[in-house]
Amino acid sequence: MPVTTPSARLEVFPLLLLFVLCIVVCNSKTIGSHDYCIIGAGPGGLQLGYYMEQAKRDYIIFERSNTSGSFYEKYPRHRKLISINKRHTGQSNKEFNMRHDWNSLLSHDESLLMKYYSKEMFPPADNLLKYLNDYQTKLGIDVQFNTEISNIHTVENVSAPDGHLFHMNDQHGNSYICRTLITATGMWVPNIPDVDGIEHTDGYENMSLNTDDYEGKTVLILGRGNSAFETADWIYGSTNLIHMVARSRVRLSWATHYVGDLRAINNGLLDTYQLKSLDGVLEAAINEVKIVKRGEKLHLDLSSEDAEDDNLNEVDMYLDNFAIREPYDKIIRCLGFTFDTSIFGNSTKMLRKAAGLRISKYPSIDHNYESTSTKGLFIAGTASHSLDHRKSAGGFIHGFRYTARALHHILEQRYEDVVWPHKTYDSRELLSVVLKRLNEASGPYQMFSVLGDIIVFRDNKKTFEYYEEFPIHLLHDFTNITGSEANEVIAVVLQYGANFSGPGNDIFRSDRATGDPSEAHQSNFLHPVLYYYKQLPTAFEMKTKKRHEILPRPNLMHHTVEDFLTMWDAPISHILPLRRFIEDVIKSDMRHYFVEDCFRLSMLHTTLPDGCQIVSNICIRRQY
Amino acid sequence: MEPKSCKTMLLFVISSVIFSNVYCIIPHDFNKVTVINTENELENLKSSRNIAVVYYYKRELARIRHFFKEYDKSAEYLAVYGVQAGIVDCTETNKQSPEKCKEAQIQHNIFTYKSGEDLLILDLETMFDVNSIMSNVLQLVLLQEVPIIQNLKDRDELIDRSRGKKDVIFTYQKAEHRIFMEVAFAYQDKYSFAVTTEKEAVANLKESEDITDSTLAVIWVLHCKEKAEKSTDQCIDVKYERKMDLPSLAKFLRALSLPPFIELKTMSDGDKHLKEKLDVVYFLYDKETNSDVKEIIKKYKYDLHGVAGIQLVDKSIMPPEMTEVLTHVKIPGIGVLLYTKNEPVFMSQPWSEKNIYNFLSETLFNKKGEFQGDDDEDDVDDDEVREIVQANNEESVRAKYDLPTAYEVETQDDKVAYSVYHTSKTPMSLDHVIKLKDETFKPTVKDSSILLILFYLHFDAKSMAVLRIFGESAEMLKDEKSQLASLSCYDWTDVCGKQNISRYPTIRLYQNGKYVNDYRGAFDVQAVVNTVKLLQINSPVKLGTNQAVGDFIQGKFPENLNQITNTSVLGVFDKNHKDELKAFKTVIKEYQMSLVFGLTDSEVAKSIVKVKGPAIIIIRHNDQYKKDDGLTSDFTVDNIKSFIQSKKIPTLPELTPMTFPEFYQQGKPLVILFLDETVSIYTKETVATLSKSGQFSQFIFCWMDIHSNQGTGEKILKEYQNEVKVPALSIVNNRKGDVFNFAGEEFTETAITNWLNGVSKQNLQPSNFLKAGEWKPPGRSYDFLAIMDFENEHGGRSPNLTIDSQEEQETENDDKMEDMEARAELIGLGNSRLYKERKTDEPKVAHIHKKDEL
Repeated sequence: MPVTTPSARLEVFPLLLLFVLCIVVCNSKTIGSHDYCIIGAGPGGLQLGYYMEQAKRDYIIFERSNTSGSFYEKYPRHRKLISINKRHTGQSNKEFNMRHDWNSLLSHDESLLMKYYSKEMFPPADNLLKYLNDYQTKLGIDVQFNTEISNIHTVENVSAPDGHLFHMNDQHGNSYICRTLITATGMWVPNIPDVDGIEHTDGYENMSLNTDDYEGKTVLILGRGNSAFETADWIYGSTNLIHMVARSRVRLSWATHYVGDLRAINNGLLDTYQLKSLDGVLEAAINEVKIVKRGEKLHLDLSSEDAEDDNLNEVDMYLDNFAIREPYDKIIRCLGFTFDTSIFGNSTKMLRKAAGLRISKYPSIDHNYESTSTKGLFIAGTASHSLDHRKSAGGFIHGFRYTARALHHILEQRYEDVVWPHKTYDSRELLSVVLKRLNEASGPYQMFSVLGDIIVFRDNKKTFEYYEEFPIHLLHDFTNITGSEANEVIAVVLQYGANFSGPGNDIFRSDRATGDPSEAHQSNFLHPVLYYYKQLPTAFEMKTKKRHEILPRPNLMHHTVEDFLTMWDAPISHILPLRRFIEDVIKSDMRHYFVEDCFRLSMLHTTLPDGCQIVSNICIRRQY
Repeated sequence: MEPKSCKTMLLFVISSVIFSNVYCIIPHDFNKVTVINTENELENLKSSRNIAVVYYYKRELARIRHFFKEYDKSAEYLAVYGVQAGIVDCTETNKQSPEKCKEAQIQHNIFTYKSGEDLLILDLETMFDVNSIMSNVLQLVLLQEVPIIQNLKDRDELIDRSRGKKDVIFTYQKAEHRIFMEVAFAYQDKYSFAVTTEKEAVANLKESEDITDSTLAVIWVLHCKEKAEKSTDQCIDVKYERKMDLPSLAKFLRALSLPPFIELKTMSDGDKHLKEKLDVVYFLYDKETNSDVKEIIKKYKYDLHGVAGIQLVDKSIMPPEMTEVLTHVKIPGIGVLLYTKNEPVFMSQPWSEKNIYNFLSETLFNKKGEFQGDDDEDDVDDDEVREIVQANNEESVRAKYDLPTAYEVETQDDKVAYSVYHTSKTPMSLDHVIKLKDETFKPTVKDSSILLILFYLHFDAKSMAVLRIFGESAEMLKDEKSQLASLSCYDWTDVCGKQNISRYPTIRLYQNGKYVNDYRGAFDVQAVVNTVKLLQINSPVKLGTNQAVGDFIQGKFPENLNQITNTSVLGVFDKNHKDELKAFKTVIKEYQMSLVFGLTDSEVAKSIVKVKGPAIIIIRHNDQYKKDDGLTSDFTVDNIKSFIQSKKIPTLPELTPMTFPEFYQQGKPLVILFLDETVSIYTKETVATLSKSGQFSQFIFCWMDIHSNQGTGEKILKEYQNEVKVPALSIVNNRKGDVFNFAGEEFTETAITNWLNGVSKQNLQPSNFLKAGEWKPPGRSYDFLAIMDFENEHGGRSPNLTIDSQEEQETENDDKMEDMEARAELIGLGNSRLYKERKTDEPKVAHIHKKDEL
């Protein structure tokens, strides 16, 4: 493995690595050392690997199995993905079409799209496996298979940019040294709660898929997520009845806009529950019960201390209509997965648990995807979902493919001194450029309220630079993150209305949609919001923004009214109000002019509106 | 199978029903509009003796809720005019819904009835707010009293009918004209009213040539009452110059019924006008100057009638204390007293027609420039009003937040966008434009020797205007292999990304598979056609024979050249002029889209041109004064370019919107000869001679017919010289803003030469200056921060920024109050008279209906 580092900042680094390398080699084991090590060749790792490959960085992906995306060899157990594979949208715009392709990764190779791997709206998991492996081989992404990394720890090194290097071993005892470590191991450890009698349950990870095993059985499913409903759907034709129990009420993704909530494709059981076909769902905290095996039957008892005392009968009487009082033949756990911390060495401080009840299964990271406790340690892929859990799509391929790209840009600036890619335009083009992005951009659409486009004004607002898909929670730190100075900016963000989402809201309510541009701020559905800041918001302002606010209060703000077709191209309702906002920001007349009007104006004025100045001789002849 | 179909159902719900219509009731609680459920109720309404307006609600349409709000509001006003408004419940839940509901497409229209008969069917789209609903319906109510004029013939007939009886109030209206209909309702017995939407019908009226697509409304008064009945005298026409709002217009018409001027017997007679809240114009005279004043009054008694009260004051009736105060006032003199002010202002300039005009323009009409858009002359006024409102109503939250109205924000003021939107229903002819996509882009470029590709974005109005132009150009070129192609940067965002398109639209020239440069000509059908034809010539044309060189110079070769370009450039280079030739060819690449180039060697050229070579000769085929110029040394790329750049302009070209950019690029001041083409031939010759002499190469000489381009020339001349008299000469430095007017009476060579020298040597003071300033946003944006603050302060979803709710809420707004008062007064006036008339004029119904059928 060649040791190279393209960065001028790190001139001493290769020498040093060689030095270290020598010591270890002399100690006997083989060794690899890299600028970037990615652990896990799943979709998250591959996506980041693609960008590393394109940038010709010294990187490696370690994969413990012999194939890419090995999680999908087993999961989902019932082999049907729930990410949509919409092959036709009626549009030829490739960027736009990624809004409706939830399985593909990003690349320049147009053959690497899921639509060429499956015709099904919800493709079989095996097709995704095939896709991921093609993605890796066709794009030449460096993956070292059959390498199970463990014992990751930091070793202090003053000349390394983060003050330390990462050392680790594989299952053969080989050692590796990495300057920057990206963990893309996903979330794969089954979540087994600490409940008495849990050993009597089957898990989603190992339950039998043979429906004969459930003939005439009474089944309780713990959990209320997609895997729970997927399981219920699979077996409910064979069972007597199925009950489902979980801590909180069912959250339907079409009510919450969160794709991690229950998807309509899986909700067959809700239907039979509502139609009183014996199946049922109910709310209870699992850790308040214990599972007791009496004969072949499994009973659920309250596990409170009270249950031990003499008043047991009273409680029993009081709860004689306790919904799950009847025993079950089988109890299946479908309680999700947690992050695997076992690959890290003794220093458990390397990755803390994210703070928050629902996100504690995730590692704690900042909005630049870096561990809150270890510099130079980043998370890519679904494990970075603590940042937007239950808000946006960062836990899913169609979301983290974009956050992986954002992470790549962040790494490029931080370690390679490469400025975040952007294009420069004349300010006269601002309206067109914004409209085009609003109507095609897939990143801000999938990662709504998380990734947004940033317009940086230059040259007294004569020109602007356009930065795509920037993590907007880092707006205050824009200059540092991108390597490009910024003061006066517009952030273009897609967001849902504050009143919209929520598991209990009736999303079909009659006033759900507004079509009135003056009420655009009341839009409930996904719609563009532009935040104009004369000065970048400060870290303090970012931190103290109100809870419902996505960004702190700007100097000017514009909402473009929601649209049924999510096409914001109506001349009066969308474009005109947006133009007026841009005019207010730039403080000038942004209208187009006919050549006759330009002529008259220039004969009578020393200055001309911008619409008359394009290369001075290009104006449209009026012919209408 | 069962569960699966259920899933599919649900999926369908998710993907498409989220915004479609799952509820089946009329989504609005109407207060003033009658909700109709049955056939009987509908019949009752239709058979009403007054006009009934009916909307059939089938299902939710875009913006229908907004319409309902407006409709309900209008119903209240309409009731005043005896008009009833109804909405028929045609939803599926209403089992008794009338038969009519079954008709297709009825939900896109408003139906009107009277006495059981169908009247007009109005388009829902044209009824977007109270004003538009009112104007449409009032038009119907007043169909007879306010006829719609289609053409000049109609107008002449109307004038014939009115002569000797009534003055005519005639309006050109683009869209809604509620206020006009309201005043017409009130004053229908005093004046004849008429409406037109046709430009043709307003021909020859004052400033009618200024009407453009963005003109909303113009009103003229035709003074016909004073003319003898059955005569053929022209009625004098005056354009209404005041604000287009109800109080202003109502006041104008009221004042129009007063005598045009009064001669004061005593000073106290003068209060009359002020009592009417009219501005006053005083003309002061004494015995000697009486006739001067009488003369000027002949004109202004029309122009100012209705606008201001004219008072003629004989100095002898003035009390001595007043005479003392007014010592500085010249006799004859003119003064203006605005009713809002206490002191009159008097003109200080000498008594002349022009000075009086300027004085009145400034003081009375408050004329301002074009900044912030053409129509915003009142902008400052609005600000003042706003300030006043704020000061008077500190408790008024609305004023504090100063929220814009939907009308202010959502009225299109971009002429290009407006035109594109309104022509979008007319299909473009794009049959001959190759429509490129990702796969065909490269092969097409590769296989074409010449290819112009238009990269466009369909949201961009300019792109769409140019696409239409491009299509028409291709149509004209259809006999040849297509050389025009288009690529949508939205549909093929990847291709435009790779081509690095950063401006919309962009037209790029590709030759033999390679990108050469961007098209920089005008976006005009003929200009694009000419460019293609020039490219087909494949400059430089090799001229091998004597004959060929001769024909090239005379513009006979290449064939039909004069239809494509006015300028040919001949290069005379021998084999040993390698560097010169190389530079020449570089320049050709740059100008091949606008000029034709020929190449020959000195041997062939020698008998025709008197140069040995190397040489570059530029030939201007359309220059009647001097055909050519030559360059014989310093053949660098830059020098050749600047030679061509400056010498391609003819000796005395016409200044038009299309030629102007070329002149402007040179950065030189323009010497403009304003003329009336038929009468100013000699002056033109004189100026051409001066230009040809070459002693004033610091200027570009050009001429402009004041009648061309819908009178743009006249407007410019008036701005420069304050009067329109041809011939006239001005020098304008567009960038600096100086204007120098030639003041001489005689347009002799010597006089003009002296003047030009004077300007060059900066011995003369500019006579005038162009307006300078910044082009600020032309309208207001929704300030969502303010809207949200407002809502937070008031709880809930309150600030309806639509026009109607403003009328409700804005009792604090003086302006609106005035509006409402004016409206109430007018309605009272109209009704009192109309009531009488209705009683006696019952068969009117049938009459209207018949007219409608016609």
